[in-house]
Amino acid sequence: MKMNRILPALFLSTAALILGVGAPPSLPADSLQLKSGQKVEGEVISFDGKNLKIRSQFGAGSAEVPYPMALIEKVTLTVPPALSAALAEPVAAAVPVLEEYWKRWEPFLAVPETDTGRVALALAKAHLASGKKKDGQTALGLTEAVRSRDWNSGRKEEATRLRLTALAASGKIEQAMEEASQLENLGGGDESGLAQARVRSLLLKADLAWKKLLKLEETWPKWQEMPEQRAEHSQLRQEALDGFVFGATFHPELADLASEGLWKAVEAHHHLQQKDQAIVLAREITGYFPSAEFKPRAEQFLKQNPTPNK
Amino acid sequence: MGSAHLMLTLESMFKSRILPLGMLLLFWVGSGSAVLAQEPKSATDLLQAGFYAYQNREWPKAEELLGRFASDYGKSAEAAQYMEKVLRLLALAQIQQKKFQEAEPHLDRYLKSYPQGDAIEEIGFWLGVARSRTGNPSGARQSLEEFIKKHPQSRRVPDAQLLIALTLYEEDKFAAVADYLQPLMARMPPSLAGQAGILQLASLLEAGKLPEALAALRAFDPQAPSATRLSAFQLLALSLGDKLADKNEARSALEAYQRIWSKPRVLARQQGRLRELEEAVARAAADKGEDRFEELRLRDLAGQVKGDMVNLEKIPDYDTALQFRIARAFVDLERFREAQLVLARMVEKLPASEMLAQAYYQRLVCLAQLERWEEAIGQAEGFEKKFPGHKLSPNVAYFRAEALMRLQKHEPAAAAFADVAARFQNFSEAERCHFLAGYCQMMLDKNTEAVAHFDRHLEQWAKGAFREQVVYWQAMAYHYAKEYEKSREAHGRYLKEYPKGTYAADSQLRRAYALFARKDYTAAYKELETLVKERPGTATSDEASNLLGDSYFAMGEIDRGIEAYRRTSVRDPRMFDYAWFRVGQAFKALEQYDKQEAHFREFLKKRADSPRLAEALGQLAAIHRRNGEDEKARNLYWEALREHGDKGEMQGVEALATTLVKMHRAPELLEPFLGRLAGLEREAASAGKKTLAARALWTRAQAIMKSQPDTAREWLRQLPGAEPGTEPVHLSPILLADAGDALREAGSAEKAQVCYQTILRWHPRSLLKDRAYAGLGLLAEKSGERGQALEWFERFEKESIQSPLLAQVLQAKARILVIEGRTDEAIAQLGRILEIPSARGLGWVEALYRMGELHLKKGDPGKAVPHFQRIYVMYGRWTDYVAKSYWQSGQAFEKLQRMEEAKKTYQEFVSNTHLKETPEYAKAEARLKEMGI
Repeated sequence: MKMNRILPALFLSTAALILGVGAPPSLPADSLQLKSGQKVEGEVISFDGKNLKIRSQFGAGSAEVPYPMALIEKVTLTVPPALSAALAEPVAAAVPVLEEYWKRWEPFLAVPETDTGRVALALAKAHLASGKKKDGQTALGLTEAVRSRDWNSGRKEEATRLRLTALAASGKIEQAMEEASQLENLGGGDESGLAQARVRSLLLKADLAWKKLLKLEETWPKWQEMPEQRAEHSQLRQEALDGFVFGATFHPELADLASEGLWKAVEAHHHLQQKDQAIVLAREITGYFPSAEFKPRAEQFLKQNPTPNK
Repeated sequence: MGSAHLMLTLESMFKSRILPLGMLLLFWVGSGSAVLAQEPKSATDLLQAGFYAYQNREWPKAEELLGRFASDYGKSAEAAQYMEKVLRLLALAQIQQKKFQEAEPHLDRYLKSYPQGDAIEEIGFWLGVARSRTGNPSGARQSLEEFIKKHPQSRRVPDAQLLIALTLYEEDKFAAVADYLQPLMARMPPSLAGQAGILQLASLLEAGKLPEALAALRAFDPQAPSATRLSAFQLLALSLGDKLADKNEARSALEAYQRIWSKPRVLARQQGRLRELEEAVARAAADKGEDRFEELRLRDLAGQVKGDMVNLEKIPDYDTALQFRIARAFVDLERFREAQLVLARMVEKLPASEMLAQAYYQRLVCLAQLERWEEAIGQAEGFEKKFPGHKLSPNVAYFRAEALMRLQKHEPAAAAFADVAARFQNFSEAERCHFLAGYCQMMLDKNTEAVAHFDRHLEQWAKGAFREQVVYWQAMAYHYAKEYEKSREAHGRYLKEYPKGTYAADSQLRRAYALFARKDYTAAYKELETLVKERPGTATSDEASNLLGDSYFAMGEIDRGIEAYRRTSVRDPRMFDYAWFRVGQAFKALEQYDKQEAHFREFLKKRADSPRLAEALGQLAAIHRRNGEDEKARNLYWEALREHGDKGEMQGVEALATTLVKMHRAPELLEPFLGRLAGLEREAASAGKKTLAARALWTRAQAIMKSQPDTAREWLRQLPGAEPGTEPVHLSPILLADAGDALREAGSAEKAQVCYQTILRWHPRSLLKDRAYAGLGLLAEKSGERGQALEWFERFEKESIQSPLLAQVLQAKARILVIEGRTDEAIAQLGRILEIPSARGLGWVEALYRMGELHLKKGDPGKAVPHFQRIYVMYGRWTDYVAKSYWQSGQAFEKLQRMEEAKKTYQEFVSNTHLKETPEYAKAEARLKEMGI
C-alpha cells in the first residue's frame, strides 16, 4: 500500500506520523472508508469523539495517522476468530475475550457501521449467564451504554430489553417490571414488528414476575402459611402465566415466541405442581408450535410425565 | 360462497391468440375505413368492414358484419379461404361481449371444420369457457379436458384446470373438486394459486372434509401477493371454525379462528390489494394492444373483491363475534386463563353494548374458574356499574358474593348474598343466595341473627331445594349460640324430616350434646350409645364416644366411661388424645397409679408425635414423684429429651426441657445435670443431631439463667453456630428467639437478624413471631434505619397485637417518632401503653414519665404535670421515677409561675426521706432554700 494512496493531501503537513523501525508487525485489518472513496487499512487504535487514529503499515514500519470523523464514511473493525466465537456463544467463559474487545472498542460505540454494541451486548449476556448479582450489575452498565450511545437503533432496542433482564439479575426486579410495562405500551412500527415487540415485552415481564415469585419462595419457604406472601405469590403466578401464554393466545403466527412462552408456562405449572396444566401446554407445543428449540423439550417432558389421553 | 363469483374471474382470464389475424388486418387496414364510411353490401365489403371493426374493438359491429358474411357467403367456394378467420373473429367478438351462447356454435364449428387451424388451441379453450358460462358444466368439462389432452403444453392449461374444478363445484361435486385440485395446487402459477386455494377450501368445507379443510387453511398464506381475495378467505376460515366447533373439535376450531384477522385489518389489506388491482385494470385499459382479456380478467377480479368486502362489512360485530368464538373455544378446552385474556381485551376495547355485557360475564366465569377472586369482584362491580338492571345482573351479583365468601370476607359476603336474594327473587339461585347469607352470618358468629335469617328462609321457600341445609344449619346456629334446648328441638325437627339426611348422624350427636349440656347425662348416654352402635367407625361416632365417656364420668360410671373412651379411634388425633387423657385421669382419680403409668407409657409409644407429649410425661412424672421416685421422674424427662430432642418440628420439647430444669433446681442436682447436658450436647453434635445438641445447650442456659445470666446469654448466643451466613433452620422458634435476643443485646446485629428472619421464614405461624418483629425493629432502630424499624413495628402490631412485647415496641416507636420530630405521635404511642394491662407497673411508669418529658419539651408544662403527679401518687415503688417526677413536676410549676404549687411539690418530695439517696432530692432541697424555705 502506497502512502500517497492512503493519506489525503490535507494531512500530509499536519499528520503526526510515528514511523516505527525494524520488522513490520502484523496489524489487524481494520479499515476506514473515507468519504472521498479512499480506503485505509490498519489497526484502529483510538477515537476521541472527533478524530480517529489508525496505525497503518508503511514498508518496514508503521504510522499512526489521525482522521477527522467528518471525513470518514464507514469504519470496519475486524472480528478475529476468538471474538467471533465469543459473540456466537456469549457464555461465562467468553467474558475475558469480550471484555478485552469491549475495552478496546468502547470509544467507537457511536461510530456508524462498527460492531462495538454487539460486543457489549454479548458481554452483557455472558455476565448474565453467571446468575450472580454483581455480574447482573455489570451487565446493566453495558446495556445502558448501548441503549444510550450505540449508533444502531436495532441494537438500542435489544439493549432496552436486555437491560430489563440485567435489572432483574441485579436484584432490581420492581424497577425491571415497571420498565417492562412502559415498554409494553410503546406504539408505532409495523404491524408484525409491533406484535413481536408486544409479545416479547410481555414475555419479559412474565419472566420477571416469575423470577420474583421464585425469590419470594426462596425468601419465604413457608409462604403458603403466610397470608400476605400467599396473596403476592398468587398475583405473581397469574401475571407470569398470563404473560407466558399471551403469545400463543393472541399471536399464534409468531410461532417461535408462542412456543417459548408456552414452554415457560409448562415449566411454571410443573414447578407449581400443576401437572395436568403443564401437560396440556406441552402438547400445545408439540402439536401446534413445534419450534426447534422447545419441541424436543416438550416431548421429553411428556415422556417423563405420561398421562392417559383425554 | 357462490360459484358464480369464481367463474366470473376465471372465464375472463384468458388472452386471445390473435397474431395471425393481426397480420391479416394489417393487410386490409388501409381500405377498411373507406368501406365503413358507407353501408357494406358486397362480400368483400363485409369482410373488410368486419375485420376493420374487429381491429377497432367495435365488437357488436364486427359481430354483425362477420356474421352477415358467414350467413350470406359462408357456403360459397370463394369465401372458403376466409371462413377459418371469419369464424374465429366472429366467436371472439361475441366472447368479448360475453355472448357465450351465441359464440358456442361458431367455436364448435371452427373446431370441427379446421382441426388444423391456426387458432385451434385458443378456440378449443374458449369452447370450454363458453359452455361453462351457458349452464353446461359437464360439456364445458369435456371440452376443457379435451383441450388439455390436445394441448398439454398450452399456457392455458392451469386456467383450464381451474375451470374444470369450477364446473365440478357447479355440479355440487365438492369432494371431486378437492380431489382434482389437490395434486395441482403445488404447480398452480401464482396468479391462480390464491383463487385455487379459495376454491379448494370452499369445496372441502362443502364436502364436510373438515380436517382436510383445516390443512388447506394452514397452507393458504394470506400474506402472499397472490392472495387477492382476503375477505373471502377470512369468511371461509370463520365458517370452518364454526363447523369444527359444532363437531366439538374445539382445538381445531381455535386454530381456524386464530387465523382470522380483525375486520379493520382485513379491510385495510383488502383495500390495498384492490387499489393495486384497479391500477392494473387502468394500465390494461390504457394498453391499446389487441389482448383485451387481461383487462377483463382483472376487472372481474376487482369486482369480486369489492363484493367480498361488502359482504364482510355487512356482518355486524364481526370482530367481537370472532373474539367470542376464540374465548368459547378456550373455555371448551378448559383453558380458562387464555379465555379470560381474550375476554379481558374485549372488555377493554368494546363500547357499552350487549356484547360487552356478555364479555364481562364470561370473563367473570373464567376468573371464578381460575379462583382469581379479587379480580372477579372487580369484574362483577364493573359490570354492575356499567349495566344496571341487566338480565345477567343476578348471576353477576351472585358471583361477587361467592368471591367474597371464598376470600373469607364473610361480612360483605353475607350482605351480598342477602342483597341478591332480595333484589332478584326470581333468580334461579335466589334461594341458594339466601341460604349462604345465613351461613356467612354463622361464620361471623352471628348465630342469633342466623337463626332468624333461616326462619325467614323457611317461610319464603317452604319447600325449597335448600330446605334440608337450612333446617340443619338453623339447628347448628342454636347449638353454636349455646341455646341447647332449642338446638335439640331443631335437630329433632331435622331428623323427623330427614331421618336419612346428609346431616342425620351429626344431628343425633347435637341432640345428645344438648342433653349433656343441661346435665341430663342419663338421657344423653342412652342416645349416644344408640348413635355409636348405629354408626360405628365414623367421625361422628368418635365424637359421640368421647361425649359418651364424659357422660358416664359425670354420672360416676367410670368403667363404662373408660370403655366409651377406648372406642375413640385415632382418625382425629386430637379427639383420640382427649379420650386417652380422660382415661388416664380416671385411673388417677381411682388411685390406680400402676394402670395410670402403663396407660401413659403406652401413649408415649402410640402418640410419640403428639403435641400433648409433655403433658403425658408430666402425668408419669407426677406418679413417680408421688411414689417418692424423683430420680425416676427426672430420668423419664431426660429420656424423652434424648428421644425427641432432635425432632425440630416437634412441639412441646422445650416445655419438657423446662420441666427438667425445674426438677434440677436443687444445688446438688444442678451441677451433675449441667454436666449431663453438656455430655448430651457433645454426643448429639458428634452424631450430627444438631437440633438435639442445640436444645441441650439451650436447656443448660435455662438452668443457669437466674444464677449466672451472663454465661446463660453467652450460651444462647452460641445456639445458631459459628458458621457465618448459615441459616439456623435446625433451631425451633423459641431457641431462635432466645438466641436472637441474646445476640441483639450483645450487639451482634447481623447474627441476631438471621435468627429473627429464620423464625419468620421457617415458622410463619409461630406465636414467637412477635419476638422476631420486635427484635428486627429494635435492631433497625439501633442502626439508625428508622423507616425500616417503623415498618417492622407495624408488622408486629398487625400480626402480634396481643404480644407482651407491645409496650416495649410502643416505647421504641415513640423514641423514633421523637427523633423524627413527630412528638404528638410519640405521645400518642406512649399513651397506648397505658391501655395495656400487662404493662401495668414499670411499663406504665416509664410511659408516663416519658409523656411528661415530651410535653415539657413541647413547652407545655401544664400538660406535663399530671403525668409526673400520677407517678409519685400511684407508683411509689419505683423510687427513682418518683424522685425524678417530683423534681420535674416542681420545675413545671415554676415554668407556669405557680410558685406556691412548686414549693409544695418540693416540700412533699423532701418529706419522703426514703428518697434521700436520689440525685433529685438534694436538688429539691437546694431549690427550697433558694425559695426561702
